[in-house]
Order: sequence, then C-alpha cells, then structure tokens
Amino acid sequence: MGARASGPLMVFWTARVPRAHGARETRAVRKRKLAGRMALGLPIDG
Amino acid sequence: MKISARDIDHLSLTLTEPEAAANRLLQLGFNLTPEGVEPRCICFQPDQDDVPNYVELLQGEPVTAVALNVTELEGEERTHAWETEDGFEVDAGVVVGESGGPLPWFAVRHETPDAFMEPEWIVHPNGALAMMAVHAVAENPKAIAKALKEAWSAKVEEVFDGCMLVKTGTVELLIWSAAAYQSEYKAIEAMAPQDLPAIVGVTIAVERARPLQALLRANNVPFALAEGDRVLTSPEQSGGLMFEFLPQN
Repeated sequence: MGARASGPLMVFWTARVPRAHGARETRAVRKRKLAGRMALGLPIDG
Repeated sequence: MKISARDIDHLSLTLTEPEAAANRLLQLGFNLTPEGVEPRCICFQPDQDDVPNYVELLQGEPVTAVALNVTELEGEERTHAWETEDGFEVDAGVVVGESGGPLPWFAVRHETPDAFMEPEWIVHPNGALAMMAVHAVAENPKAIAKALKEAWSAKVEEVFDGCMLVKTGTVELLIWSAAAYQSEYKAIEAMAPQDLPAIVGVTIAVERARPLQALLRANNVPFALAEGDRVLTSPEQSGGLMFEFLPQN
C-alpha cells in the first residue's frame, strides 16, 4: 500500500498501517477473537 | 470544562431511529450488541485493556458526539445489561460527564470496560478491527483544534492544508475544512453539513479490502474505492456517518 501512497491523506494513513491497534494481535487478543469467530460461526482462519 | 483525556473512547450517535441505523450497519457487516437493550454498540478490540473502543447508538434528539476516556469523573451513572448468545449476562456501567463544545463531546469513565470487549462482539463479518479515527468538519479547523487541545489536554498537528489532527491516545480526530473534506471524499460525493462544526465520519481498520467489497456487493450496499484500497460508504448507507475502511494488509 505504501508504494501507492501519493495523496497527503494516504501518506498520513500509511504511517499508521499496520499500527491500527486491532491489527496488532497479541496471543491473548488472538485467543479472544478466535472465541468470537467461533461464536459467530465464522471460519477460524479468516 | 477541562479534562485530561486518555483517548477517544467511543463515538456516540443519538438518533430518532437507532434501530434503522443498526440495520444499515448490520448490512455493512458489523456485529452489534443485542437488540432490545440501549445502547446498541459496535465494539472493537481496544488498544489498552481499560479503554474501550466502540460506536454506540442511542435514541433521542439527533446529535453525534465523541466520548473522551478519563480516570476520574463525577457525573451521571448509566448501567445496562446485555445477554450473550450463550445466555451470559454482561453488566456494563459508565459514568458520563457534562457535554462540552465547540464540537459535541463529553467525558466518560468506565466502571466495567470488559463489557465492551466481549469476544463475540469484537469480531465482525466485514473484518473490522478497530475504530482508528473520527472525522469532523469545521469552518475554522485550526480554531476548533486549538479549543479541543486545551479542553482535552490533547496534542494538535496540521496534517495538511484544511486538515487538523487532534490526538489524545490511539484514536485520532481529524478536523477538516468543508472544501478539503469534500475534495478528499469526492468518490462518495461527500457533502459537509450546514451546521458546523459537526462529526461526519469514522475510519475503521479492516483486515482486507476484497472480502469487505464482496460482502457489501452481496448486501447491495453501494461503495466507492479510494487510494490505498480504501473502501468508502456514504452517510446515506451507514446510519448518517461516512465510513472509511482502511485495509491493514
């Protein structure tokens, strides 16, 4: 995505990817989300 | 009113018909807390364990406000209980402070932050991971940013001409001039509201853009694509807010 970042807003966003907190998965977070995916019946590797 | 804000905690949407908005947000692939209990919330995995990250829908006179997380607060205590699919009762308690300005905001202290982090509510079929940013439009973004900097003990930065950043924690507030906002989001023909300043949208981090696009197509939700594989939906499609989905891959 960074290579295509030309507009000023994309430059701003690119500096934040992949820093979005939901994307920084610790083991505990992954476990919590896995439980959530199973509860929703979503594929667990999705 | 002056506070020491830890982060933007949540976005509060008060609507005349919150259930209609909830149905639209379901069509966008969000998973909401159970119907029949106010507030309906879209919860995300937070950055800090005691600072929730969510969007709430309330019924009442329409206003969109940001809630700032604080550790000390005297105010109105609000409690509610949700029931999970498994029949567990999840009790939530928040203390809400007085409303401030010039952009609608209020302080909030959580007594049970875990209630907004239940596993089955932080996972979304559209791959949403987190609320990254809130967008507002103002006649004078610099003046609004300066006022909020003082009120929230925040940091302020000019991202570019017509776009100011107000930062207290992980979730960022972008304050746009009407012209800059309409230009940046012209793909969905974004229009600035007449009464300014106003909160107009949110940026949501998503795992990948393609599955989200497939979901929106399947649900007949119109969307536009923008630079960086961003997916945009207009306020008409999303309960009155512009949604910008920012892929993390």
